[in-house]
Amino acid sequence: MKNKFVALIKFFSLAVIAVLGIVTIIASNDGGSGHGTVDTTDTAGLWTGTLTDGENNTYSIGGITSTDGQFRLIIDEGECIGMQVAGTFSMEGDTGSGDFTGYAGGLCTFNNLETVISGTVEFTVNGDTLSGTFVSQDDSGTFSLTYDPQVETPLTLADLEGTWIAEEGDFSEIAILIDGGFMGNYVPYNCNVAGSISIIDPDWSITNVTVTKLNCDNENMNGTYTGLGVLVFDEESQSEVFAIIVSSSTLSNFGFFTPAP
Amino acid sequence: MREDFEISGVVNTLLFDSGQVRQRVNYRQLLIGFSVLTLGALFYYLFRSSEHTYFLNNLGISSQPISILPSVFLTIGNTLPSFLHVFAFIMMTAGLIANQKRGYLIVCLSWFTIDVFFEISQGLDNILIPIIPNWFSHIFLLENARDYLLYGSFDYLDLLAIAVGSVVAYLFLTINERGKQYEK
Repeated sequence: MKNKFVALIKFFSLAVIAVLGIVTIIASNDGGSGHGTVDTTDTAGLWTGTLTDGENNTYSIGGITSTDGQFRLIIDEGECIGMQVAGTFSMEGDTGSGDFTGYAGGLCTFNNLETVISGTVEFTVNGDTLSGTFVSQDDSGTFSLTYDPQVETPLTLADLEGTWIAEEGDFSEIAILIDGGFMGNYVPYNCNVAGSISIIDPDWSITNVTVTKLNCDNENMNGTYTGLGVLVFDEESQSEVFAIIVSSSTLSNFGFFTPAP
Repeated sequence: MREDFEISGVVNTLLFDSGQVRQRVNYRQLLIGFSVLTLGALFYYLFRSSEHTYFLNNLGISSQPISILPSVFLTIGNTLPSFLHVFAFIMMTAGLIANQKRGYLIVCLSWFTIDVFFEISQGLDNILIPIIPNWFSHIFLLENARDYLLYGSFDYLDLLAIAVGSVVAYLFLTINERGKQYEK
């Protein structure tokens, strides 16, 4: 009887140690390995291409990568237009990796029916092409992008000063001031919009953008959104386009603007 | 009469010898294992950001990694937790149930297998994440399984550290046991 009792005690102690061992593995890490040295200048710029998800759906995407290691990718056409991915990345040689948050957009949600997901990307840069894979909480897939050199152009806030007409997205026209401040409206929920634009690197046409939405009909829309902006020249319309891609912790927005005549 | 309480397989082999419980708990090994585990936790507190460490984050412990190690030691430092983990749990398990070479070997191989499995799983995140049930995300600790796979990085050096930790633990246990036999 005593042997049986001792054996039971040992068995349960062993079970506790086994569970503790596994728990300490899982609980000790959610990405602690970290990433390599940030050297992202060579990868900065404007990228366009396609993304293919785990169900072989292919989407046309455009992306901005900044010299300080931020990236924003957005589905730029089709029913999922506006679905975006935001994150940071680092480079080691020609290989990059990063973490991202994905935001549902257009008529689409993610496969797990969530509107916000997180994930990781790994990619390699070979000349003007960037290709890689992503893994998120609900999906995995590949992407392939081609570099567009046109944002390797010096930019000052004076270049952005003026009124910009909304061509895509849910913002109204915006008025940008010489100090980078701007005002406008977010049409679907009648929000007042106040924002600011700052230059990340004067040699590149890429900016940081902060948007604050106030007095929205739906209070959930109120809040501060941060992201990137880029000034490009659209060959099709023969016009400059200032694109902003921003997100809060749960929501995302984008806007493509052209200069007012 | 054989007790009606039966434990099969490896556990039976380790716990019983001809139906008798002979093994006494080795508190020294248990203490060594617990101490090494504590050392591992301290390592995380000192050298890893709480933002990226689930247990620090959930215990409300805020830590910023200090960068006092020369870069040449960073590689070793990054793999140290893998070494400490397998060593600590081999010590604790052996202290509880094993006292012979065969038992030590089984304990070492078991923890080596477990640690290697979890390390490799970080490289198979695109296969494993889709099969993690959604209800995991509502349960303490299990909620981190997805992030563990998603953000953890498979590293051959971690595999090496696990192997070295297992071998060192086995040698420590057997040499220690031999020393005791000489004392007798």
